Amino acid sequence: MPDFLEIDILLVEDTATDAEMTMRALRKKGLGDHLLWLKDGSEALDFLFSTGEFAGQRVSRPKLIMLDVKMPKVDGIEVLRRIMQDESLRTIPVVMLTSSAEETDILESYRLGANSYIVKPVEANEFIRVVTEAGCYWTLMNRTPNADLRP
Amino acid sequence: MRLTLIERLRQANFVLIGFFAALAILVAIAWTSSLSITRFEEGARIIEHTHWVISELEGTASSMKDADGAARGFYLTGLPEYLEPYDAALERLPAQLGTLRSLTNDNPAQQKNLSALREIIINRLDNLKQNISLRTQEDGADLITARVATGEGQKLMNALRQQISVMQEVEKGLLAERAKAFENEASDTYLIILFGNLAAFLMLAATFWLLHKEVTARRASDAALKRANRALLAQAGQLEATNKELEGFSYSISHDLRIPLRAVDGYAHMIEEDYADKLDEDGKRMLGVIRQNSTRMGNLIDDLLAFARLGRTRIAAEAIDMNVMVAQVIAELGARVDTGADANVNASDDPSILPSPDSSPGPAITVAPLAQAWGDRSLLRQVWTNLISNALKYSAKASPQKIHISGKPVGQEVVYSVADNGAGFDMQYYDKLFGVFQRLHSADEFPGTGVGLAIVQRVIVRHGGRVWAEGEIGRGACFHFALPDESAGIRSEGTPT
Repeated sequence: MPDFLEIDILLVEDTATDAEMTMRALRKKGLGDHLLWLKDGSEALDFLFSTGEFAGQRVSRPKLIMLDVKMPKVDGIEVLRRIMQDESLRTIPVVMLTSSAEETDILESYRLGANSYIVKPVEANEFIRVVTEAGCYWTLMNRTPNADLRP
Repeated sequence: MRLTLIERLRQANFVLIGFFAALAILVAIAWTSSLSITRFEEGARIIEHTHWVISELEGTASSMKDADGAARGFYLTGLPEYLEPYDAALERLPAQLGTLRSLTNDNPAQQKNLSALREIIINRLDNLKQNISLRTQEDGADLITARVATGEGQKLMNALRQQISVMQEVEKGLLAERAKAFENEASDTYLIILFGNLAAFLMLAATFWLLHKEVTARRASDAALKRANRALLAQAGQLEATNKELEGFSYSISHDLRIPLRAVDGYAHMIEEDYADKLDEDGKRMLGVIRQNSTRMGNLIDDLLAFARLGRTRIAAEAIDMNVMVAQVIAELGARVDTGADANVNASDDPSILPSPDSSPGPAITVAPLAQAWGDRSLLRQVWTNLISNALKYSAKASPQKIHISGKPVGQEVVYSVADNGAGFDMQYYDKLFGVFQRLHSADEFPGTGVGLAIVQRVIVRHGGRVWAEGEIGRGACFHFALPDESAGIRSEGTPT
């Protein structure tokens, strides 16, 4: 791994097909250059808190975190909770991108401070539209407080 | 063992009868006892009376003996002090005879005997009196000796003893008779008390046994009822848990099914994009079929999810103006309210929510004034959407297309109906009409997932209402749903004009 990882979009998704389709859709809009795909919540926490696999690795601050809800080991809700508990991470926009339209998941996500909750459509064109719109909006149109690299 | 109502009544009657019979017997015993005590007292008095007569007779005899003895002493000595017992006897005798007379007052035979006795006593006393007066003469002693020698006095005394003995025998006979009668009566009373008490005891024992049986049976049935109740509660809880589990299950199934389905559609789409130049027309068509079917399955899953969610949402009941709701649903479905023949049935006084009658395109639906409903706004809206979209879909090929909506109170319910002149259905398959994923038409003929009517039924049943339908192939169908008339007086009076 390089000394420094520059990441704009952090995609946390346990389903490989969903991840590939998401990355493909974002790439087509030119948003795929600084995109990191992690397969579950524990990897995401390692990345965000520089532990485990990412211990000692210098990383940039992502512009957007796309979080699946249902994941093995550490689920998206738990990752969201940990992000919102961290003073420097809590200003990163978090979009919940999930198959679950469960009211309790939506409620809990918003209660914890998610910036958006998107249910992944089944139909391919719809899926591509939703993912690219969310990606464009949060990374291109949206402004976040300017934060330097974490120490 | 369970008793029938009649058996219970019979038993209750028997308990009542047994109880009152025992009570009656005890009262009779008490009455008999008190009567018996009275008789006993009377009998004792009679026996005492008899003894008194006997002793009075003895007293009389003894007085006569005293008089006789005293007179004899006087005959021998001539000393007047010997006559003292004689005088005393003379004084006693009238009282004694009087007493005897009054004591035997109720016995004519003894009265007669008493008269005879009295006669003898008078004669004897006369005799003694003559002798005593003779003794006071000069030669009295000899004269008396001569008179005594005649045996006259002795005879009278014998007669006296005889008579007293007769009278005593009569009294003793009476006494024995009375004692016997008394004894009989006492033994009768004893038997009455004994058997009466025994009967009362048996009655009370039987009553107690019946009551005990009844109480035991009742306790047992109470316990059984409690057990059944507990079992029912447990079952209800289990059922609720199973329902929840099932809903959770169908929800997660729907959820997990979407992931591979999204992949199928997504990757087919990728092939279309990336390999379009490498595929011939047939290959492209096949990819299209894959994508069509994944879309259809996606719809199935969405409907299943909606259906599963329906079981979990709470019903928030409120008064609903069905006229407004139906007009909105018709507009949303791209149809319009027909103002032709039924022009004056325009449903609401708020024109803003209605499609303007003649400008909107799409099929026309006639709507009669609809009675107000009481229920969950979003759920009932879903019902109208499903029924009206069905009517539109299945009557699309009819010319002219006719759909009529009505709703009015019938008894304790408000019955709403949606009738169309479309494809209809075969009543033979009626039982499949409201089932989940059950369809009476092929998807090619009429697209759909077969969940719409299942949702209608579920919503209406959750409102405590019912759904039913009539149909005939090629002649249309009519769907009805009835909602309970929850609060009287909220009904719409029809259309304000």
